[in-house]
Amino acid sequence: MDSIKKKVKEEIDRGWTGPNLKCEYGPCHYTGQDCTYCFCPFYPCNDEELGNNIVTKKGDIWSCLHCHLIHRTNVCRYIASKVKELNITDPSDPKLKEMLPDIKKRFLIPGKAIMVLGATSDAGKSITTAALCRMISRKGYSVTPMKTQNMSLNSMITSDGSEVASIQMLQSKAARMKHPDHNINPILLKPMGSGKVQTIVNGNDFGIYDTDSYYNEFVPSDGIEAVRESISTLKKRYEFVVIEGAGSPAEINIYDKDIANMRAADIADADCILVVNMNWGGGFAYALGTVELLSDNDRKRVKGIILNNMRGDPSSLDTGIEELEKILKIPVLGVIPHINLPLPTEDSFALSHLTAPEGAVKICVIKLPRIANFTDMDPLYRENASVVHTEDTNDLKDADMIIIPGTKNSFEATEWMRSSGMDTTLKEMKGKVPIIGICGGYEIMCRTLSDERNKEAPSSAEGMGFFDADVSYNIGKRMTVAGVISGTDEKIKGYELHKGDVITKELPLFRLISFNGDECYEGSSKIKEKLFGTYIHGIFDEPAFRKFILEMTGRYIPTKYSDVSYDKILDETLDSVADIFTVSLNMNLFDKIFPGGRQ
Amino acid sequence: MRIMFAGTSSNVGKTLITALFCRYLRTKMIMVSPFKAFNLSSNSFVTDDGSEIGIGQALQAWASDLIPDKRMNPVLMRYENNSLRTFVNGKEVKDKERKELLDTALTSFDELSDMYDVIVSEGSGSFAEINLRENDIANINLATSRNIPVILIGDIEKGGVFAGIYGTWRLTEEKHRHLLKGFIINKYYGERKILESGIERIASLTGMRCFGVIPSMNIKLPEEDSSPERERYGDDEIDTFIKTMDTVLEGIREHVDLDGIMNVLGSSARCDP
Repeated sequence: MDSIKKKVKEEIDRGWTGPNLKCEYGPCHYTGQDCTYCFCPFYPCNDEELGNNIVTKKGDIWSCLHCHLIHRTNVCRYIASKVKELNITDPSDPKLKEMLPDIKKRFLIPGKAIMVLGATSDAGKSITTAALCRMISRKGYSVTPMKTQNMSLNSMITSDGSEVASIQMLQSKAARMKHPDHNINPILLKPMGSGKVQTIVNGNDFGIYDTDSYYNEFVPSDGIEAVRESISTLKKRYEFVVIEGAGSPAEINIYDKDIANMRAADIADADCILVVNMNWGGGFAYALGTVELLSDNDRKRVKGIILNNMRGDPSSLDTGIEELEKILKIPVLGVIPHINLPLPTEDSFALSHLTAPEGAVKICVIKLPRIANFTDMDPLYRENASVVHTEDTNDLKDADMIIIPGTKNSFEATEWMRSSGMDTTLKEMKGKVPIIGICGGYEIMCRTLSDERNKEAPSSAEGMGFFDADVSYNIGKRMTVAGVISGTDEKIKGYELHKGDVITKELPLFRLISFNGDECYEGSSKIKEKLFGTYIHGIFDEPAFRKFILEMTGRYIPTKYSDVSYDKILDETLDSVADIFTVSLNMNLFDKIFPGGRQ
Repeated sequence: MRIMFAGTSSNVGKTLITALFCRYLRTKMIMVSPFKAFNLSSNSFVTDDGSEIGIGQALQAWASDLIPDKRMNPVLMRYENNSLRTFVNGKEVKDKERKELLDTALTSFDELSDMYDVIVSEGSGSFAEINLRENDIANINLATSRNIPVILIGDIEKGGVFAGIYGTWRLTEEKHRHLLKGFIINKYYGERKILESGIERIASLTGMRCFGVIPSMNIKLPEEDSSPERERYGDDEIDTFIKTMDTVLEGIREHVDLDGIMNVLGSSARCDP
């Protein structure tokens, strides 16, 4: 404790310093944070509104993971001036701790909520949310994205072990957050087919619903409660909360059951921006119709309109914009051109449209039924590769590499592999080109899959038998992992998210190293036959495994991205997107409508 | 008699619904011709006299038991290698004034009207491109020039269909709104009863009737966005297409108020010159 006291003494003597861009640990909370009080003078405050107690083997620890108060410039300046005014020089001076209630009262007011609505699906809400997060972050504010309810089979695991939609994780990168948790996507719906959804609430399994029970049982009780809690938590932590809506907010047939749009806006007291995709035609009609079909109170929340995805000359829209603004009395904030950048979107193979370069390695991704986590493949698009999602066995025949991706249902997928003839083709290709199974794809490559969790109706299936390994279903895993490619020092990282457990007699693919130094092996690897299987998602994010596997095709030509981690590539891309939005929007107007923070 | 199927945006299923309605009229032994004043497409169909028209109109012609005719699509714009080529009356032209284009389209429309009992028009893109209002020849300007009753088609697949339909009606000038007789919701996956409250609200706000909710269908057409410049269609291919139309028509009968649409068509006769 003495050494901490000493640090605090240094800090209060030194006065305000602002952000420390050179710190090797920084930014520890968010990019742009103020580092004047690296060691908080109020620690441990034991204030449940700011931090929380964590029980560990070594005893209780007061955690400040999600407290940003001490890292806000306005707060730091205020403390520094108070320290001077009250002539505080001793870190034990009770006057110092007594400042906290006053600081909380002055500065701990809820952050500003902005909601990004779409006139349709695919309007560009996700990218707009990401762009706004990055733009706000660049101004030095703490900002978080959020989507109350997301339907997607692309999910990721946060560092605290919560499952959230991948696109919200991408947006959290745009916001340059350090510790996204379940609050960025409190409700995740994973479609299972025949109208049923697996529901993930606050990052954990919450059971299975059909449309009727979801809207009539879940939404009015647990659903709305989860939304309320996450919005209130995020507003306490961040100066800005940018909430992405879902689909169209003007589905008047289910208006009162929708907790992803105006209900959430109401709870968050959000000002809304409506995004319209101009590429299909009818954009003005959709914009007008959407706003006018909202209830009177909700309509007042809409403060601006963004016309997105405009191909061609934006000035050709001028007369339409004028008329729209005149009718709605809501300003059009700008026209965003069609953005030709490889950015993942929510639930389509959005990257597939990219044209592959000459001599590219052909990577076939088998389009399994209920394919999940196909965002795993995103980094491969930056390599000298054409990535083909296919259901056609003929496509596989000239592939240089084959990926069997994740699926929501491995049992259904093994059946499909047989009926589609995929398994026969894969057996022919075995040994010729690298074949990698990820998660569900890995399970399919094993000998047998047997699920005995339901004692009355156990199910089992034959896999491809590529590995001397079997799958049983017990607890599974849901966690982030890091390690190296087995037998090397080449780093990888990712996350596991599965119900099955593979018991393998093959050599492992990875050696995982936990934060306390514990090690374990993961995956299956048959180098001679070029067969690999792993539960880890995100293995292509770090350059090492990309290189390892692409070199095995014998046709690998590196690109300028080959040695770069995908996080960094994404970061640059997000910057470019934010640049495009900044020049395309009327920023004076924007700043007027959404004034910064709590200054 | 005449009627127009117009869209709240592109790709809502106008071409198919127009073809199906043409086919329906043929089952009633009515002489019908399709018509689309203006087509923006990446490919075309070449008629017997060497004229280029949109593939959609060729399909609709076959559904009407007719041979494709250049007058069915008097103006075609086609992308080729990133440049835009314009075809008027089936032949390529350079820099044609848009004003003249409406006259050209109307001439074709009138000629077809003289030859057939019914003209089923397909709108182009969105019916309410307010920024392009002056240049429009296939939507509102055609409808008002020839007093054509309009049925809007909205696609529910991408969401916001009520906003699309309502917004399109709102952006149609008040004096012309009487031409908007109703709407069809296309590409639906669920049960119709879930939509009912929304449909009722739109109907009461606009006075338009709902003429149907059509389920999502996976129909492979030699569509407008397939390979460029299809010149030849085999007789077998055409036969298969017509059979498909007959099957689909049977399938959607219960979802579409065809009698209601016939009444709209009938009402247009009273305004015939």
